[in-house]
Amino acid sequence: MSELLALPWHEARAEVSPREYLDACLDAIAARDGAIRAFLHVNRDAAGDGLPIAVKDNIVTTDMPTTCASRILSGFRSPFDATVISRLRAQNAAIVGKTNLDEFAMGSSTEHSAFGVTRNPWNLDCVAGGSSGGSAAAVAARMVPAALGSETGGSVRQPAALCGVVGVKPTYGRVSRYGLVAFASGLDQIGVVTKTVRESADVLGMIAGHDPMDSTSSTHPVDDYASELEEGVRGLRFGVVREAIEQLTGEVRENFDAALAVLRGAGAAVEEVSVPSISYAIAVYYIVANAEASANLSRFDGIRYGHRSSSARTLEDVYADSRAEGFGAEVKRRIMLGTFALSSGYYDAYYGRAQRVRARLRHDFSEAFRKFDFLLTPTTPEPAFPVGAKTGDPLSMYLSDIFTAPANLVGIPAIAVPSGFARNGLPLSLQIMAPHFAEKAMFRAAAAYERETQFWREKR
Amino acid sequence: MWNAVIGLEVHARLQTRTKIFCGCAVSFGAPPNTQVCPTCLGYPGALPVLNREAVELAIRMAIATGCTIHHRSIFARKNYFYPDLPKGYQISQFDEPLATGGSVNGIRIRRIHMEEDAGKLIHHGDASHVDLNRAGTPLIEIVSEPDIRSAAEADAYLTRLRQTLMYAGVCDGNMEEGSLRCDANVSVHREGEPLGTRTEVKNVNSFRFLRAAIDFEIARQIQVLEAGGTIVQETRLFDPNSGETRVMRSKEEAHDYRYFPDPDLLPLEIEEEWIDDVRTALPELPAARVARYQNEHGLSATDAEILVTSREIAEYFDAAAAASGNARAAANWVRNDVLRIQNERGACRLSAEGLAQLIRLIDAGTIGSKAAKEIFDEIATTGEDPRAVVERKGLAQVSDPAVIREAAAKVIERNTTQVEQYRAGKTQIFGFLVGQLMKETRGKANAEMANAILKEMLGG
Amino acid sequence: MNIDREEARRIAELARLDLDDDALVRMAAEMTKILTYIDQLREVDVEGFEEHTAEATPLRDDEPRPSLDRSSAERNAPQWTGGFFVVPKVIGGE
Repeated sequence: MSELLALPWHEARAEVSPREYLDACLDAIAARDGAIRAFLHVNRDAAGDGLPIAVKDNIVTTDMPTTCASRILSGFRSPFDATVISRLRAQNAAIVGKTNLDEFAMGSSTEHSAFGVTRNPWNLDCVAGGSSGGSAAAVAARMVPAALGSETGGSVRQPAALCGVVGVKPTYGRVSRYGLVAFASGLDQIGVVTKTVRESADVLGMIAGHDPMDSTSSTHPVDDYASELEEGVRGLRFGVVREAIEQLTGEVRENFDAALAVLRGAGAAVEEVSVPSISYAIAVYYIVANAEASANLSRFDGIRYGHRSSSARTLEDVYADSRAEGFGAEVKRRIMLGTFALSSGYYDAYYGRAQRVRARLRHDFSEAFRKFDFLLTPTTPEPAFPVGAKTGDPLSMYLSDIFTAPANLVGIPAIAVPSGFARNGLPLSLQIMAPHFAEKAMFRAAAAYERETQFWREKR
Repeated sequence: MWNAVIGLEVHARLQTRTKIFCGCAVSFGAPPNTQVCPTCLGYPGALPVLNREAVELAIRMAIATGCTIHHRSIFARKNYFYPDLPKGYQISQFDEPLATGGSVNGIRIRRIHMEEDAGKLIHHGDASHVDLNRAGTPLIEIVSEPDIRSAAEADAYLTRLRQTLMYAGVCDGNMEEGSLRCDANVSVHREGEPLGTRTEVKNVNSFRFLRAAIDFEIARQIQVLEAGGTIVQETRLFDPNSGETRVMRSKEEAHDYRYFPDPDLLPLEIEEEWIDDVRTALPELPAARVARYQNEHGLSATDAEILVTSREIAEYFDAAAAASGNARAAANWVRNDVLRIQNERGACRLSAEGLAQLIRLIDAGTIGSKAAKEIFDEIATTGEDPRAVVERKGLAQVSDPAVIREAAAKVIERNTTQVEQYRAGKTQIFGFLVGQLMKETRGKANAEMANAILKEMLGG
Repeated sequence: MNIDREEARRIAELARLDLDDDALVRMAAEMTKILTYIDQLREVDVEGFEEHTAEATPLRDDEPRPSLDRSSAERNAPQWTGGFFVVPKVIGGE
């Protein structure tokens, strides 16, 4: 049975009935999740002849709780399904459970969950990454063939990278946000985690498309994402972001160079390109994202749902105590930063300025895409780190997003593909970025690389 | 010599079927929390989608007040915590509102912007009860420049503004139900000196209260300043029982609303074509009608104002004036009688055409004004065609000179004493003789004609 | 950018977060460190750059859609009576 879950879904489907496959997933979860803790909630009664899939617990479901890994949502049951959930159900997907995350998707290690940390299947002492650590670990441990995560600064690609699986961030507006609990509305997108590129292309095709319930969702037509997977990269132009690799050293650098060699070997043109403002991306991200988050999280006030402090006597207590008790330290920190960045006297210097630097970053990316079909960086500056290694230093944790955050700020699609392993056995990952709505080409490039390397087949 | 400087901020509820950002019906009197959905409840994952009709109505009012409509305007989040505000922010407009720069009654309008209403808070002993049915109702906020100089001027401005809103079908103008809410900013200064500090007087929700509150506040501020004190910038509430304003909260603790563009909504784009269509479809507005009634029909300004009290009345008048060919008469009947019946009984069932018929009957001499007044109340109740009533009651005047002469001859023959007295110079006895003539014709003689003929036959 | 305890207190108040003195001091230090990193944005030349979306917000027809059954709101409410959400009495009013 575990061999079954090691196969790409469309191959496994050819061998067994949907019910057997679904049972294999549920059995794998029961057998393996104790040590990994990818799931916050498992639906053992999940049914559906289609794709078994796990969903990050910041995507609302009517038939299971939604906690966002936060105490402030204890007891909450959403009265509506997210659009992506409705679409999956309409295609007979079996939603097997809700996965763990950093609280409200704020983090890069899933250590900021109120319900325990998700472990990296490759090394249980290490983090699975975040914030979609549960989704990445569930796929990496072969408990499910696919999982939905969410992206704001890299929260699907980074954990996918650390867990040795494929992680996709679609173009902003490609997938409906209706039902995704908002972190930073102008950056958030639901993303996909799978073992292989083909599976990601299939799943994205199941959820992508315009939604009238989301004003920011795009009417751009949905391509057949798996239709060019065999085309290869001959003649395609890849730009290596100079400012990203300048500081790269050691095995991450070697691994990245090896990936470039593979692409060249497959006929691609690979050159350096400058994206000058990219080094400011993290600073921009941590102002813009936290500012939007500070407003998005104001609705958690103990009045209409979730946790209300039992010691609250006055209205002010209801607000301040419920929120202080319900939110974890990282969430509070980000709300504070965001509130500050929007506050009177500081708006222009922080939020205003960050948005203008963001406009500049957009411009720099546009310029780069004139000459290149794709842009390349490693997905993360280092492989998975030990649990506890960075929780004492928020800023160092933020820097894990240094290669992923730019795509969120600019709105372009990006994919993380396994690129090998570090000497300590932990996965490494290559990131391919593409222009807006060029997912089909992006999958083509990623598939070509995957075809040459096949790292997804490695066993733990 | 003290001058008052007053500006009004008016919130008007738009007459749409659904809320501004969700499809919940806007209806009054529904049981609490039954006209709600995830979006207007501020549930996690919910998103706003803008109501086209709300924009249409906002455009209408902007055109009706001579504002410049901005082709691009931005929704912004106004962040503060209050139990009737589910998201912890109100979606409003800040830096880039829908419209600016109009005027009403010579008072300049600074801006008109769109926003959502909050829910309702009902106090209940130690607790407050929250009903979110109203949350998300579309509003426009109309902000005047501080051009108003007195309570009377404020009344006139608000009257015309309200009329305009109702004429344009934008708002039902019902102040008791809160469809129209008004806040006043008031300051005083000595002639020739700089402007004073202003206070805000909130929720003055009837014309009477508005005048009383402004008068009180002006007097209060003058009193404070004359005694050597200073005016504190603060928010005050008008208490109708005492006729006084009292402090609500000091603006020192004024909210830092941390406005920023709402990332869940893209910019609102309004093309010139839309504006043109709305402008074409606008009915004739009160100010224009008042001018026309004076110019075309020679009506006084006072009468013209009464006729434009509501669009319904104005259109009724127009129809009656056109059909009868006698605008002055129509004006008098509407002003004195139609409105009276409406006030007394709630409705006048005499159609404009019916009124025109009545006027034509009088103008043709078929009935006298006295008879007309007599049947008016009846036809105002039944809506019957006045010609039918006149026929049925046999009220038609005698306007045939021959018939009157014959009757007059009889009167002269029978009252020889009085006739001799009249011819001898006792002219006041004419009244008695006219009375006899009216009796002879059973009151049906056309009074004017009877007078003239009798006088002639008496040789006077 | 330096954040001291008082500034942290002001921001916590705006954000309705009840933080005790120790927490405020810690938060102030963390924010200072992060904002100091973010202050590098001051050196970027942003002349001529404004964040601008080309797209327009979509508009919805003014057609009523079914509202939620009240039981959903009730089920999730921390405190509820007779169809209303309940909060401690609001003093002062808005």
